[in-house]
Amino acid sequence: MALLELSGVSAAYGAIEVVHGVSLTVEPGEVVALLGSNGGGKSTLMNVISGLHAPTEGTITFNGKDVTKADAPERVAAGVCAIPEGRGIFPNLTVRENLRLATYSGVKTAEVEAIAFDRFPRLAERKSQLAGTMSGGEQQMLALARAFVVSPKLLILDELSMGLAPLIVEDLYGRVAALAAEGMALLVVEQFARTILPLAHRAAIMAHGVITHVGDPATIEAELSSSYLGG
Amino acid sequence: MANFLVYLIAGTTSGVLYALVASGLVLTYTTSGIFNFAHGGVAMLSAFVFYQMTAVWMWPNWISFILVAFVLAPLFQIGVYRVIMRRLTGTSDITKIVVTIALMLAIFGLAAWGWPPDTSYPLSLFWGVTAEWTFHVGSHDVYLQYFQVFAIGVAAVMGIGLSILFKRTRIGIAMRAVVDSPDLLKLNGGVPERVAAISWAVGGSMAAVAGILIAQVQGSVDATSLTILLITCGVTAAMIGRLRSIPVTVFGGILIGLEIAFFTGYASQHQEWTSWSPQFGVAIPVLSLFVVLLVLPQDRLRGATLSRLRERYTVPTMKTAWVSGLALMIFVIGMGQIMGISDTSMLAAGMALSIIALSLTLLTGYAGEINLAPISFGAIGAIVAYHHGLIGPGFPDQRTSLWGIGIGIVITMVLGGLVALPALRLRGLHLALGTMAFGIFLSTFILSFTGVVTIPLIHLHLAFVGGAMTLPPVKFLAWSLVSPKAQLLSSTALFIFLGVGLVALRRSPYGRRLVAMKDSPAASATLGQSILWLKVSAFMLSSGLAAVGGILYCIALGSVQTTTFDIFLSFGLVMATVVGGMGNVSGALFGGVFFGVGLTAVQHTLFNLANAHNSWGQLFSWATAYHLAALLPATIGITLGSNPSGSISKIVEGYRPVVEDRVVLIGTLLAIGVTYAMTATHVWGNWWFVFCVGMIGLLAPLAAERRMKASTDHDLAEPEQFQAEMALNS
Repeated sequence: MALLELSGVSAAYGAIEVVHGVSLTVEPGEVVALLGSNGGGKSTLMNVISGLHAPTEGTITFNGKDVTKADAPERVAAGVCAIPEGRGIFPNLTVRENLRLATYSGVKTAEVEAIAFDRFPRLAERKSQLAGTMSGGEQQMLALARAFVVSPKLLILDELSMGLAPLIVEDLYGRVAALAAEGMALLVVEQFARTILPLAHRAAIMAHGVITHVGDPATIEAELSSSYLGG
Repeated sequence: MANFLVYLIAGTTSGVLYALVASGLVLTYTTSGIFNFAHGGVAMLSAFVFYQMTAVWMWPNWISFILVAFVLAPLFQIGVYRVIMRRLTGTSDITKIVVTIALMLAIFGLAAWGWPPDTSYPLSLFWGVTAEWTFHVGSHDVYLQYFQVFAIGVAAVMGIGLSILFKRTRIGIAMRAVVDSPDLLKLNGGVPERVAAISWAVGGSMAAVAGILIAQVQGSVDATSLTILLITCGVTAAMIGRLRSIPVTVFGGILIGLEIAFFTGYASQHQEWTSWSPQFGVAIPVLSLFVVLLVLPQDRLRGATLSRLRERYTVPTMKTAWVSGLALMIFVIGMGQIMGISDTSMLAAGMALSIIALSLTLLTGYAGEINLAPISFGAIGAIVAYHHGLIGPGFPDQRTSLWGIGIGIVITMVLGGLVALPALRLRGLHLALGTMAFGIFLSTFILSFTGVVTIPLIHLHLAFVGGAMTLPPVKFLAWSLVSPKAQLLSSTALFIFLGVGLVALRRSPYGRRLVAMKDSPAASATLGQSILWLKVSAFMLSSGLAAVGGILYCIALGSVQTTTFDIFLSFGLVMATVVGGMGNVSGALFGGVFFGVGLTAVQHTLFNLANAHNSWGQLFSWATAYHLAALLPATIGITLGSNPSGSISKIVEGYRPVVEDRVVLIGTLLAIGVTYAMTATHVWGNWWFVFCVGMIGLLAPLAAERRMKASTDHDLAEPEQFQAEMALNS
């Protein structure tokens, strides 16, 4: 049974539909990469899955339950953890206060800090600093720390690499690989295919609000090359 | 030394209570991004409810205190948040400000309904005035009341509790997180609506405790003075804490309390200050607010925000502007023929208020700068014209000269330019607070001196002599404003002329520069625009418009008092203009006429209904009618969250089917013509005319829509009918 199953999901902003009848599955422990250029509807689809944006059509099943009408906090309780596009942190709270909010998942404060500071020692050094004053890489570490703390069934990452230097992106995706190795299912949106495809079990290309291709990473990489290079 | 200790104790007691009000204000602002001008109103209403329970129903003090502060006030605030405030997402600063001002006016209306302002509502201290400890300082006795210790203790516990809540608890951290990103809080598992509702409830408790205790210090509950005191002291303390830090806010509150206690105390001992000292309670926090706003570090120039806002205004063509102006003139001339003298005067005053509201269209609608005290600028123009423009032998032959009007406008424009200088570094809420402080200072301090006060060097008299001012009509060659009808027609013509001028200005390169500054000051500055020049010029032009309106308003009213320029009237006009649509000239027309005439018209209608139907007498007694009507604009203002662009654009949109359907259009015009003829020939009275035109106005769009639907259904049915006929023929 698939962990996440989207069936004919559409989403719109007012009268303008931007996601048209998308169907997609993520199996337990599977890493699925969702690729595509800007404006293809990837982030909207992520918001629909995480419960921030209500779909206009279709059904979403998570862990065998229909969660189409569930709001974001209910999906968090069910085991979905989403790190949105941009920096998924509260800039005017300190690092410790940001981590404190991860306790909504039921983990104790001390445990949250122990896990986060163990995985990201840099955060321990900056625990009393306002999150908004940290570097971009450190902010993404803080965002990612939530995934380690919460241990969700499904982690959704939206453009983790946005605006970061290649070395930092490499470091962050090393952490993501560690999460995948622990058996966590991942749905990762990325514009830079080469960053995520080596980690993925399966990949999909989304353009103009529909998924055009789904397959193994090698096939999708070839498909992307032919799309961009005409080869 | 003994006096020093007395002032210290009294100032600290008041100060901690101001700190409590301010902390509640900071709490709701931090968690919802809404600066709640109604916060002082909640405190005032709580004091009245407490009075009702203890003095009228004779409930025990403690039960009443706990019930009001920890049950009723939080419930009221939760209701306010759920019904009104959470709908304000994605609206501009002015809409958020106006909605909370509307709520404050509604609370005022409710309080005036339940506890009429002409009665006194004494409230004694807990344990009484004589329950106190006595200390000997030198040869003097210093008293410390139980109440003072209790007030300081309660405020300290609530302040420390709030700090702990904010910093140490998850709900407190979530309250701050929800401002950064409600969506991200949801992704963490929190529920932003619940978090915000809790913060509004806590803020309500703090307001209620402060309101009840400050009313006890004052000795009675008085709606206006209590609210102004709470607004000025609370806002100033909150701004000292930069709307962020609770400890600094508490320090600010105590500082304000001590300032007032020491200034008032020492000033009352000196003969030359005694006439001034009663006003210190308001003047000191207001002046402190000015200073705080000027030294407060400001954000850098911001970039574009338009895409996030829901307000949208269309700019009419010059042809549309002239045609609309002509239609307005014809309408007013027609109304002038059938209205009595008092109604004509009332409409003339409304039209003058519309001219003051035009100043908001330019300043806020076009340039994005907020002014919460437009009537105060109008007051300056009128006062200068009164002191420098009167000619003639005396009443009733005295006239206001064009020279006086001119100098009134010029001086107001200069003052507007001066106000713009500090405004250069203020934006949004801070600018709103700065202009509010200016309005309160003018209405409660400067205008409260009824003797002649001469400003040295320029020798201007800025005072009401004897408490009232009568600005006589203008007469220049053949142009005379002596009769109410002439005042109405002149005000209307001037409104049309200035309104069309504003549309032309909006369409000019200067107008586009103003809008560019409003949308993105940063982009505007990097394109080489002088923000200094744009702001100063917008403030000066806007002040000039307000001065014109203010002078005409005073002429239409005849005699005006200091209360004519009360800050709450400015709030009402700003609110009505935003309801009409701040970015359009039509919004200014609606704002002025609705605020100046609509209220009284509704009151008269309800009163007439009460007279005509005795069985409804209980429901529509004069007092009920008055208060129902007073609540009406506030209620409309509160609903702005669902239609932030204003109502005029929506009304025009609603009448589009009527304009497009010639049959309905001609029918509507004929029906209005017949109704007008019946009124003009005295077949029926003016109120029937208002009623019939209102009904025609309601029915016309319905008729047009029905005809359009019938026509569409017919077009859709036709192909099937055609096919059926073809089948039959074959």
